[in-house]
Amino acid sequence: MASVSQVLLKQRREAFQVILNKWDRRYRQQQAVQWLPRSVVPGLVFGIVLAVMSRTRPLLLPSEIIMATVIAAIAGLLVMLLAVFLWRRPLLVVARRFDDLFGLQERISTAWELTEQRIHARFNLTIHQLDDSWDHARRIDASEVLRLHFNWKEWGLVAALIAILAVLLILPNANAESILRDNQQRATIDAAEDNLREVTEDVASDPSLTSEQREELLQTLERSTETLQEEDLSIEEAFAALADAEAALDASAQDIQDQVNSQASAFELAEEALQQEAPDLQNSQQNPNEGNAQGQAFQQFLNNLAENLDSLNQQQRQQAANALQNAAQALQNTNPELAEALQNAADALQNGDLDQAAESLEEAQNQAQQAQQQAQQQQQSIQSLQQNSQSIQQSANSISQQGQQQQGQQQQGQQGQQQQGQQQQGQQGQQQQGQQQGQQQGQQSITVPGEGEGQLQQGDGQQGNQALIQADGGQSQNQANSAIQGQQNQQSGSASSPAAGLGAGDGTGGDGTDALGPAADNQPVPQNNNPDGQGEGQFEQVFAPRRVGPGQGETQIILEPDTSDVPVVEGDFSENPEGNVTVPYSEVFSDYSDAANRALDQDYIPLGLRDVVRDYFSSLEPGQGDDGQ
Amino acid sequence: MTDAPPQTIDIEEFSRLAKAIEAEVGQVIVGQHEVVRSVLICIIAGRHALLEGVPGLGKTMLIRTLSEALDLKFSRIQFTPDLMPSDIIGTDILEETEDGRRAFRFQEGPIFANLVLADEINRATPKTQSALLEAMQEKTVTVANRTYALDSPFFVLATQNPLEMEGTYPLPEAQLDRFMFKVHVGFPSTTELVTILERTTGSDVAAAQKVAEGKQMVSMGALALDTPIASHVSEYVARLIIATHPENDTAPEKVKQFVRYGSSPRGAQALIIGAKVNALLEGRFNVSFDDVEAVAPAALRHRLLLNFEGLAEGVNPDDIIADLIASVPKQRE
Repeated sequence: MASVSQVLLKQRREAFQVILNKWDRRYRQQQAVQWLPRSVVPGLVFGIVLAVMSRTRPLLLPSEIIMATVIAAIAGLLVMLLAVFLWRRPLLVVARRFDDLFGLQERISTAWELTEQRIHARFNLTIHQLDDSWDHARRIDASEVLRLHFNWKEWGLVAALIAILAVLLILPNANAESILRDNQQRATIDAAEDNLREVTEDVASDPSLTSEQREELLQTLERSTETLQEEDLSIEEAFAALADAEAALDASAQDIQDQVNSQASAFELAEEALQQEAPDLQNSQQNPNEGNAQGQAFQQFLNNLAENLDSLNQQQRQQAANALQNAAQALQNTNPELAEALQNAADALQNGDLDQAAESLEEAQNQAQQAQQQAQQQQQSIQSLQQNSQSIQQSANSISQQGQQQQGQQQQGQQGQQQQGQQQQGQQGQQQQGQQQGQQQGQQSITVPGEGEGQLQQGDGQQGNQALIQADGGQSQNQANSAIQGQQNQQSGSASSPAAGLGAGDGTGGDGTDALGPAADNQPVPQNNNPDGQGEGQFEQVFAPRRVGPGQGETQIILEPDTSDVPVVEGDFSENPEGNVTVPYSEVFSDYSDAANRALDQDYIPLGLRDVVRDYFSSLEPGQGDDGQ
Repeated sequence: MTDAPPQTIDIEEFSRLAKAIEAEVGQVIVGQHEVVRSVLICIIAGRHALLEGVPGLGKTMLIRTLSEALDLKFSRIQFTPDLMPSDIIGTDILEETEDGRRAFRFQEGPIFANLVLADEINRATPKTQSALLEAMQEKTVTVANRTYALDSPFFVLATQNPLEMEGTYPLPEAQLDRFMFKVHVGFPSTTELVTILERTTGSDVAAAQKVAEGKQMVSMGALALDTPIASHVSEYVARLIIATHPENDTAPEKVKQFVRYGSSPRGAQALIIGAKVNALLEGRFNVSFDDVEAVAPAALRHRLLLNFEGLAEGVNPDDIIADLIASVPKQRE
């Protein structure tokens, strides 16, 4: 009896299990349909909140809002589907639910508990109960009772939310442009940061740098990198950080270059000493003045001396000893080890100890060879530092262009068609980069004088449309320092600075209507702007950024053109064929100094650069050193 | 599954008998279907019922009809203030035997019957009322240190008049608790009243015919007690009973306000047993929430002891029970 009842119960249990699972699937489908609109509502509300917030402050672009909304809606949908379809419930709970839903008066749950033997009853009563429950369950049409009901009110709510969101996204949003600019700015800064990291790695792995140099450089680079990592970093700050890094690299390169030069000079002096004191020992086939052969010539001399020690007479030995002594003195400061070896060799020669002399000469040769190798490494290090500096400069230029483009966009939005036309002219000027047309209406207000092949900056030719200072009716001066000096001729160079893309050529300078806008361009301008008027020398690149970034507003410096068509300087130039200055320097200086002071007073100059500008003009004041006249 | 006791009745017979009894009673009693059903549930369950209603509503007639339909030994006790316990349970009397000696012989009282009608039970003194306690619970009576078993089945169907309170003695709680149901006998509707008049004012007086025997009622009761009840329904009954106690957190507001003491565990037993019988009477083989809710008023209304506020405001316990049913969750999941 017991076994029969067990089998019967098992069969009934399986039957109930099948029908319960079937009902449960249908129930989950119904729940999914029912919760479908509700699951996307939070995502839509989230999107609307984002859209509203984005209209009150720069937060997200419409495309980003759409993406966030879609993701939130899909997430809500997925959560709902996972909850509906993957939330497992015991079949007893399922049975109780369907007892309620189908009005089965606890038949199924009781039957399930009976088949699970959680409760007990007489066998015949159990069978009656199971049969009765099964009869009622079979009569249930789950798809009829559990209809997939679409709640049109809820779908209407979803449609309304979508419409609201669409309206919020379609209506013009003033903050969107700001967000775009910020994103582009951030991307540019991030790229610069990556570049800076690569440079940092290069510097850290550069074996030719001393530990002090490396430490100093790494500190500067890391400081700049940290600055670039800061939130809400302005373009000026980013550019300043890059400029610091670039300056540090340049300074290191210069230091190394100075070391190399001093080393080379010392070798040169030593060779001269050798040549003067012991010309007989000089290798006739080697010209010591031929560039990189200096060290080699020196070594060759030592080699010849070492090989011919035995054949030297007393006088020649004395000459060689003197030569070595002089060379040692010349090298004392730059290479004391080599100097000591030379001195030892000289002493040995004077003492007639040829073996000792040969040994010391060999030591000196080794030292000279090491010095040469070190010099080569330093050259490589210089090149590496220059390349890194150039790379950082390019990053800085990118940031500068970014800021100028943003300002240009702001101007486009705020200026009329006339301004647009002017900018187009500037773009045309950009396209004509390299043509070196002196007649072009200079949109370029500042250029950096090229230094020939040693110049690191490369003109990218994108600054032509970015200048704010216009010199209508005149020819633009392409070199700021020449503007100050009043020089008419520009220097030409095989390489030009980035800002010199338009002007480095044979163009002629303006005739008194040149514009100077040190604060009007975002390109590096020379700090040591050649106040002596010689047009030569090392220039420290200083960035004088235009005020960019949100909230700064547009600033345009427009100098009044001289419409009088009256020459500033009249006279018979035949009396002054050499072009001597006829206008007093103090008068010229006061004009530019006043302009600079106005720019300072009107906040055209970034705060960090005002001291630089003041110092510069202070150095140009009449009576301060070379007046440049 | 429990081992089945000797089968004396099956499901079909149960249903047939139940329908027959209701139909036969319906031949005499007009309307009052719920009252008939409640009393029948008590009889099938082998418990006792207290019928409350104004005079003339057919309470006595109902019980007499049931006794006729069930072919039970029926006795009626009219409770009066001067009724003594011995008048109910019987007494030892001194009598002379055939051989001339005198001996005490137990003279059975009217309680020695299958169906005892305690008419207007609240008119007897508490002492007399208490005479029923042992009989109702133990189904025995003890007289002079001798215990006498009552016949089986044994049902006490008591009536009381809610209006005439003067000269009455409210039943003590212990006595009330022994009644499975307290059934309210309501006033018939117009149609029912017309039918009553037609049946009772003519020459032909309807009488019930025997449709079942007492032993069959016992078998029906045994079968009903085996009706399966799902665990969550049992839990619901337990929560319902616990919620009748005002000190419990799950008690609804009305209980906390108007109830002094809630139902005893007998109330839970009455609920489940009544629900089981009700389920079988409904042709179902398991207990549902509906069965519990159907019998809850009859099973609980006399087990809720109202406090002074409840009595003063004339709160109907049925309202409290309705509030209980509405507030206690069924927790299907």
